[in-house]
Amino acid sequence: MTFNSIQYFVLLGVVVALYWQLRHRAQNTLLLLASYVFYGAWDWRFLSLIWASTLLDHTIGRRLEVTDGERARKALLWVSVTVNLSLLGVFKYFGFFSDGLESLLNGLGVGWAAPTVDIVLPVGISFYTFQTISYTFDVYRRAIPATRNLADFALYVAFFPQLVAGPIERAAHFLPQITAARPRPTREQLHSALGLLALGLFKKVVVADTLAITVDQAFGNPAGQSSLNLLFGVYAFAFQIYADFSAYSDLARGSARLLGFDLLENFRQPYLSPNIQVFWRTWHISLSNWLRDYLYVPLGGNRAGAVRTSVNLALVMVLGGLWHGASWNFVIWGAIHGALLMAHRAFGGRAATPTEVPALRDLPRVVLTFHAVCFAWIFFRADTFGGAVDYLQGLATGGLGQVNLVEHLWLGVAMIAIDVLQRRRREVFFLDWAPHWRGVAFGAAAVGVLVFSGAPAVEFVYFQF
Amino acid sequence: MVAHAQRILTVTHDEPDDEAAARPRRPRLRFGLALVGTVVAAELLARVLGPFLPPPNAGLPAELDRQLERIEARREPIDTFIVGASELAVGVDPAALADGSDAVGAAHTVWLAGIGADTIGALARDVVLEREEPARLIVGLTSREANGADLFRAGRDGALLGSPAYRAMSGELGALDRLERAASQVSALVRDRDRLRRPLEIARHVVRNGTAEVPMLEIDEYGMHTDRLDIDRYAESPAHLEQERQAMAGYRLDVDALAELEVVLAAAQADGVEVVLVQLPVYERHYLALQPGLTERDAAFVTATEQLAERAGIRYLDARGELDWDDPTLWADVNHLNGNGTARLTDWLVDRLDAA
Repeated sequence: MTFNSIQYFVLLGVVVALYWQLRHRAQNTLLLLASYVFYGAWDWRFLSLIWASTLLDHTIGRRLEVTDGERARKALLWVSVTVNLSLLGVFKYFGFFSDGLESLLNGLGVGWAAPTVDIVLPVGISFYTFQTISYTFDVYRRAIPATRNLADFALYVAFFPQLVAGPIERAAHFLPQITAARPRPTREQLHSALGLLALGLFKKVVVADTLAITVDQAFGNPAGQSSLNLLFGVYAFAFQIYADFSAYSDLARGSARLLGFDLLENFRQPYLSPNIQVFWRTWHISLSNWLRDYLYVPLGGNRAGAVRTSVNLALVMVLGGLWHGASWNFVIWGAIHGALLMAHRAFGGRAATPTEVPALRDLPRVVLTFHAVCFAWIFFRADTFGGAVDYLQGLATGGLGQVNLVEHLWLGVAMIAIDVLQRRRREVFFLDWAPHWRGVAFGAAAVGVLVFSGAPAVEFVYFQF
Repeated sequence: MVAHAQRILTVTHDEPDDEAAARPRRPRLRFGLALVGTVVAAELLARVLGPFLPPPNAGLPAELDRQLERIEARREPIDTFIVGASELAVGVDPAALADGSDAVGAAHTVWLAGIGADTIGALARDVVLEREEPARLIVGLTSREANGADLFRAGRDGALLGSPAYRAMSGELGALDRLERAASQVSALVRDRDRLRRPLEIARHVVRNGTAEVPMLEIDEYGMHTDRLDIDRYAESPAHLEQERQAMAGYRLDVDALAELEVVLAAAQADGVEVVLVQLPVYERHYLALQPGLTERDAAFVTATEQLAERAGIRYLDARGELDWDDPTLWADVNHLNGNGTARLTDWLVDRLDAA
């Protein structure tokens, strides 16, 4: 059940209609049931993984709160981290590491064949695993109290609008919203929720799924394309993945807002960034912040000298890449971003908080940053390392030749226009407009979704992570 | 007293505070009218643009409809169905096959241009085996139908198999499909949305004063593809050669597509249908030169199809290996036979079927 399906909107409509008839505790029970139905629609078997993770971290959280000895507390933390990462390791990385071990041993002359195990990747496991780990960490650090109510914690782990592709919530931000009674949304909140849903559907159905056609053509057969076609193919992917993932976040946040919840912001117009550091402050913010707080800072962050800071940056970005998938391509993607961040620091770059549309004088830096990000996207999108190399080779040597992958690129321009409007005003920018212009915006989104939704449905890119 | 009250009321109405003045009147009504107006305007625009829209992207569903009409129009019972892509449809003459062969009573070709092996399997299952009662099923392949790197082909095939028309034909039409069909009767936005999705192409068609006519391939009453029987038409066309070259670029044997075809053929054979898999000829000296390294990959395809037939327990006929096809007078282009070539392949197939 994806967010761009009729089934999801039926589920959401039924849940919202029932939800506001109920008292607080019953609301939470309804949401928990709906979340398990939502997740079970993919595969009921994997609910057991969510339940295992929920029970483990709830129990460890309670124990951490009543345990004083530092060694015992650390041991509890490590149990949580080890079990959660083991689940992730088995379901997501088993093949990757066993193949790597096989290559290594064979290279050393030790004949060993990796066992062939066909493991299905449970949807959203990377997201909810990180969310439960962050809870245990925060309880360990006594940043938050452990939650006593198992049902509340279960909802924190499984809340359906953000279960399968984030934003990765923090207990300090989200648990209080679960435990306290939620006021009915104001008219302004309701409008912004509907606006986010409209914006998300537009980005997914009109922009991302249409650009996917161009991307598949370019990356599916780079040998048969001209350099210009391959360049347009990378641009198309840059906007496809941005539209796709930010659409998911918009739909998640819009759905949650209808239920009185506020989810973390995940994107803040990343392609308007004048440098790579700002890009990472505005792209997949909930993951960037997670990696910063639970990996980069514990490793020493930037407090232990320039060399150690660079090592920390590289390590965090490589692991961030690996989080996306069990493939060397994601590792390389992370390493490229790590290298870009190190270079940015080495040249004394600073990251200002992005609040305004870049001025004309910043445009060259914005364009340069965008192209650096696009270069890394080639490794992210290509199926194999060889595929990425073929793509780069084609870019360099394919000649100007035939140009037929330009047709959908106007959608990238549309995404930039949306970003500029959001940066100038606010996230759901059209809510500031006069009622009739707001009506035109909603009408245009409806027409766009109607016209573009006839093509075969495409899953959200980030579901695979 | 009354006069005083009236004066207060009048003043209140005539001199509203600044905030109230700034607030638009009847915002919900204005919002609703604008929303509905935008949708209606888009619908009208779609109707006005109708004659200028480019041909439908999803041409295969329309082509399939025509194939089904041809089968419906045949009054006699058809015992032999020939299923494949254009190479088979132009390569075997079903009327000549029926006339020449003692084993074949009436033959008919079911095909779609440029489809892959998995879609050929789907057509064999959904158009022939599920709807008809054939005694024999002849499927023909070249390596072009099993290029896993040809995403253009995969996209077209996916659009066909996922289309409401296909689901209606295979009896899988859902409630949403029915709703969409009903909506397409009244709304141009729904009906023409495949074509409305391409604004740049629409602009090009408007500028060139294009029409919405859909070019259809020529098919005779037996379903045979007939418009490539003229050798001069494609042989000297650089655009056509480029199209064939693109289709073979980055060749990767699509083992999944072949596996899907194998499942269908094995099931048909188990159900008592005589299944024949034909390795179709290609004009090797030009075909294998379409892309570097194609010779080895094409050989791997031939081996894979032989193994497929063996595993599925079906009859395998190697038209490509048994006869010499290195003769320009047999070919319309690098992989489609012309009239001479079609007669040669059909005669050979008659001999093989009757010899069984």
